[in-house]
Amino acid sequence: MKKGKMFGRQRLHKLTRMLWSIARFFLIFGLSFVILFPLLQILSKAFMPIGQFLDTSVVWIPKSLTLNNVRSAMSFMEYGSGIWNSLVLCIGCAALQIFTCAMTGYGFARFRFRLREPLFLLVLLTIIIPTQIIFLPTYVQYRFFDFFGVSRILGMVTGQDYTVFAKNLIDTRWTFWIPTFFGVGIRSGVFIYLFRQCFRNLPKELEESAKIDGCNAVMTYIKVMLPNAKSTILTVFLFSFVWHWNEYILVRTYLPQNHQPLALKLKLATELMVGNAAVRVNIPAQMGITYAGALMFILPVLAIYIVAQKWFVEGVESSGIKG
Amino acid sequence: MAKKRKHKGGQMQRREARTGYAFISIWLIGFIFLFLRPLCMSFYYAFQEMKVTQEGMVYTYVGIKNFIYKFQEDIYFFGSTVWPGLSKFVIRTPICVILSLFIAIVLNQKFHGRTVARAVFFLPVIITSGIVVQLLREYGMDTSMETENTYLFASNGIAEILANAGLPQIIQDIFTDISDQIFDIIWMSGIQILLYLSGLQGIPASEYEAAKIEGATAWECFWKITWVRISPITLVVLVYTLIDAFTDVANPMIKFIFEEYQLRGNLGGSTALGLAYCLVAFLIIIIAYAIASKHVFYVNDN
Repeated sequence: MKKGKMFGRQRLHKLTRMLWSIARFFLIFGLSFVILFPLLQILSKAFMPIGQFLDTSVVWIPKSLTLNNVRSAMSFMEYGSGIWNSLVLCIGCAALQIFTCAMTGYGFARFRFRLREPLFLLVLLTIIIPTQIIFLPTYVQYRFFDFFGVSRILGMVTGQDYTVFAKNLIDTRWTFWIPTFFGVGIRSGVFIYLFRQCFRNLPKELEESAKIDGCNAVMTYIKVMLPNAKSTILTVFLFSFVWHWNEYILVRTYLPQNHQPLALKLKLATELMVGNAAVRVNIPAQMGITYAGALMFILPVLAIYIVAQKWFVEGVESSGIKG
Repeated sequence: MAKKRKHKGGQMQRREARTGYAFISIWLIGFIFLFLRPLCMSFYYAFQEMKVTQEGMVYTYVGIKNFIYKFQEDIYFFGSTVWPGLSKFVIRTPICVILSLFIAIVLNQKFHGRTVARAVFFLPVIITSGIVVQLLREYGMDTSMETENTYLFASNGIAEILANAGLPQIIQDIFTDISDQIFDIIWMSGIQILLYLSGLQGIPASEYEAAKIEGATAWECFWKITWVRISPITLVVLVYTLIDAFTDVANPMIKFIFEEYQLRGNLGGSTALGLAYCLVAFLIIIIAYAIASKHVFYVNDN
C-alpha cells in the first residue's frame, strides 16, 4: 500500500513537470518573439521594395526582394568610412579599457591600503553619475585641453592666458582615447568592478607561488594573474566593443565632423531624410532606407555576437559577479 | 625580536600599500582630472551664462536663473517632462527586476534549446540603448505602421479583453500600462538577466539537495534559498536598473537636456537642469538602496 502511494505521488510529480515544461516553452517562445520582433521587422522591411510598404496584403514576406534600400542606405551612411571609423574607435577603446580597468581592478582586489574602500566608492560613483551631467564641462576641457594642468602652470609662469598653451582635441579621437586610457571612459567603472570581482575570486596561492619563484608585483600580475582572467577580459572586450559601437551621443559631441563612426552616420542620415527629428513624415522610402541602414549597422555586431555568444555567456558566468 | 618582526611587518604593509596605489594610479589621475574636475566645473557652470567664442569661454554670473527659467517659460514643463522623466521609468524598475529574476530562473533550468533561448535573451545587451532601438521606437512601434502584428503590442487588444472580463478600471489601467511597456521592459532587462543568471550559478547545489531531503517544496526552496542567496544581486540589479532608467536616451528629461544644449545652445541651462535632475535621481537611488540593503543577506564564503 505504501508502495502504491509513492507511485501515485511520483506520477503527480511527473505530470506537474510536464505541464511546467509546456508552460515554459510558451513563455520562452512568447518573450523571444517580443525580442526578435523588431529584428525580424528590420530584416523584412530592409529588402522590401518600397512600393509594397503600404500594400496591406504584404505583412512579413515581401512579394519580391530588392537591394535598393540597402544600396541607398549604404551611400547615405558612407558605409565604408563609417565602418572603418567605428572599428578603430571600438577596438582601440576596448583595448585601452581592458588595460586600465584590469590594472585598477587588480589593485583594488589584491592589495590592502588605507584608502582602498573610500576610493572604491568613488569608482562606484563614476558608474552612478551619468556622463550626461559632466559632458559639457568635459567638452570645454577637450576644446581647450590643458594637459592635466600643465598649460595652466605654463600660463601662470609666462603670464599669458592658459588657452594659448591649450590644444583643441575636439574632432580628434583623443577625446575617446584619453578618458578610456585613464579609466573614466564609457562605463569604465562597471569594468573595474568586474575585474575586481574576478581577481578577488582567484586563489591567494597563485601570488604566493609566483613570489617564491621570484616574480615582482608587476611580473606576477602579467604572468600569473592576467592569464587567469581570460574569460573576464573577453567579456569586457565584448561589452566595451558593443557599447562603443552603439554610442552616438558622446560621439556627436566630440567627433562632430571627422572620424564619424557608423552610429552617428546612421543617425545623421535618418535626420537628414526626415529633415527634422521632431517631425516624422512616414514616407515608405525613408522607412526602407532607415530599416536597411539599421540592418547594416547591427550586422557586424550581430555577426560577432553569433560567433562569440558562447564565451560571452560563459565569461560573465565564470567571472562570478557577486554583489 | 618581536619588535623587529613587527617593524618588518609594517614595512611589508607599506610596500603592499605602495604597490596597490601604483596599480590604481592611472585611474586615480583620470578620476581627478577627467571626472572630479568636470563635476566641480558643472556646479560652477550651473550658475553662469556661457558662450563659446574663438578666444575661449565667456561667463556671466546669473544666479539661479538657469534652474528656474524653464519652469517660468513653460508652466507645463514639470508635468510634461520632469515628472515623466522621474516616474515613468521608476515604475518600470520593480517589474523589470522581478521579470529578469523569473527569466533567469527559467533559463537556468535544463531544457532543450537552452543555448538558443539564452542567446536570444541576451540580444538586447548587444543592441540595447543604441541608436537602433531609438529608431525602432520612432518607426517600428509607430501606430501608422499598425498591422496585425503590432496590434499584439498595442494596449487596445488587451484592454478590450480586460473590459470584457469585467475587471475594474484600475486593474485595467495597470495591465494596459505594463503591456504598453512590455517591449521596453524586456529590452532593458538583458544585463539584469545576465547578472541574475551568474548569481544563480553561484548558489551551491548542495543547499537545494539538503532542502529537498528535508522535504521542502520548490516554492519554499525559492524563498528560503534562492531569494536569500540572490539578494546581493537583486541590490545590484535594482541600482543598475534605476541608473539605466534615469540615463536612458529615451527618458524625456535626458532628451530635453541634450536638445537644450545641441539645438538651442543653452549651455548653462542644460547643465543646471542636468545637475538638478541628477541630484534628484541620485536621492531616489540612495533611498532605494538604503531600503533594499536592509534585506540583503551576505554569505561570507571568502
